[in-house]
Amino acid sequence: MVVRDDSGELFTIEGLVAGLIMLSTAFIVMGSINVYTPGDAHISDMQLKQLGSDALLMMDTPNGEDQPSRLKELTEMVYNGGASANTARSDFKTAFEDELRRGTGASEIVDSIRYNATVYYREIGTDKVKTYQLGDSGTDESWPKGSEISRQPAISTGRLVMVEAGGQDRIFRVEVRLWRD
Amino acid sequence: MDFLIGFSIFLLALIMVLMMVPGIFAGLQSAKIDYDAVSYRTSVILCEDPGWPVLGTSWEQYDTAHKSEISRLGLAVSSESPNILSKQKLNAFYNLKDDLTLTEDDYRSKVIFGDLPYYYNVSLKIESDPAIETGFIAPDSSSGYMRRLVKVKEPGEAKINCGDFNKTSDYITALNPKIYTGFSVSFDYNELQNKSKKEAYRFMPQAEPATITISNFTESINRSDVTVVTLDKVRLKKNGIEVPMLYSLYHNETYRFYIDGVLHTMQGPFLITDTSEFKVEMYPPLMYSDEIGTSLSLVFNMTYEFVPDETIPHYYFSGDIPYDYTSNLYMTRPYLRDGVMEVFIW
Repeated sequence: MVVRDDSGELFTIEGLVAGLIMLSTAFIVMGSINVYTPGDAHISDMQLKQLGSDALLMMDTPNGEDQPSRLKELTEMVYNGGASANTARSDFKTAFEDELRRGTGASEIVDSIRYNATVYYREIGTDKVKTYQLGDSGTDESWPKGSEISRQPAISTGRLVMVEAGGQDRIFRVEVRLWRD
Repeated sequence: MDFLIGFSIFLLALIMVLMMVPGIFAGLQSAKIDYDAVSYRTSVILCEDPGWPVLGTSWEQYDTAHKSEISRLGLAVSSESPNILSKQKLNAFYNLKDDLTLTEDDYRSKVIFGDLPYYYNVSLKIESDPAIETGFIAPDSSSGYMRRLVKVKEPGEAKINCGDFNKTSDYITALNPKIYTGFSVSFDYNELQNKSKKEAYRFMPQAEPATITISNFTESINRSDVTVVTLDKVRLKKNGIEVPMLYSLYHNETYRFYIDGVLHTMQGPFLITDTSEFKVEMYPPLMYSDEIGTSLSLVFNMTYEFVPDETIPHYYFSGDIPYDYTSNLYMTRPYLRDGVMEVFIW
């Protein structure tokens, strides 16, 4: 049999090949793009913030009605200053890290949380806001390293504590900055 | 003809590719975010919400036949005390309660509230107790996760040491060798449900059980002096008047009565000369706890038979004591224990 005109088959092959190229391109593109959206980041921020705020809430909730709140005690020690403020620092570290470490065993708790805690209060007389470094996770960092020009992954959470200081009830703020290493 | 076939294949492929384009952007709203959001919401409902219904009969008091009336499985003691969980609600949630069984569908429709049939794992650990969990085995990755630090409220109880409530009598003669005595523990509901106390530290007779343990009974009696002691009956009294009810039932919704750990009715009489411990568990809601101004008392009626010796004092167990906040001798007030909850959704 004599083939009179075989140029026509080229169009079919061309169309088929073009279709395949387009489809495979689309599949490769879709498979390889993984956009890390700000929404994803907010999830881990939210988890960290909730954990921090829960930890402060737990420290502020005594186990018995006649017991004092641990957080309140620590804040009063900070106000008293001197050696007791130093003790407050180590006590806060122990108590706060104990809270962060708690787990049911259903998942592995990775010890990667870093924090930095500060107490803020207004000084009577001078009307100035005073701050006291209540402590950090022991890495000598007050904020995530290397985040100077990028998104800063530290979140901040805090709790207002009513403290009897200088003969009157006053409100102190304990603020904790948290991030993951 | 060939051109037509080639062109239509090309067009078909083009249309397919164009249809995939929205799919590329769908990836931005990833399933991971959804899982995390759902696990966050679930943890908030569990830890910060008391569930529904909560007024009158609280959800954890429903049984399996009425569980369709439960609309939300929150575990908090009240809406004012976030992260403080009720032990009774935990027991109900983890299916540790005899008369209520929750299924996967219940968890999905009453606490997870998702459009999809999510898989879940909710675990809880209280101090060094073994962890409890419900749901499926959590995957290592691609699941939503939330860890919440909580405290679990213990409802408080009365632990009475018999030796602390021994009375003496000189009126024992050969003709009259018996003493009829009573011991009662009373609940003043107005005082117990003191609204000035925070829910975390308040006795809540409508939602929490009351436990009364009387211990060291046989140790408190002088065996050379006492021939026999009988517990005639145990009764509940409302404002001093006996509550008309069947006291001869083992299983009932109101109480369980144990003598040395063995379940008994309250009917009596029981020989208790060699008994060490009595325990009454009263289940919520406690009788009449919703009536303002009532008091309920639990009364033990006992008969002591002594060796008739008029020269020595005879000791017997007697007293009327309140179940309250101030009696430090025998009352354990409600207290909290540290816990942690982890929620996985996938």
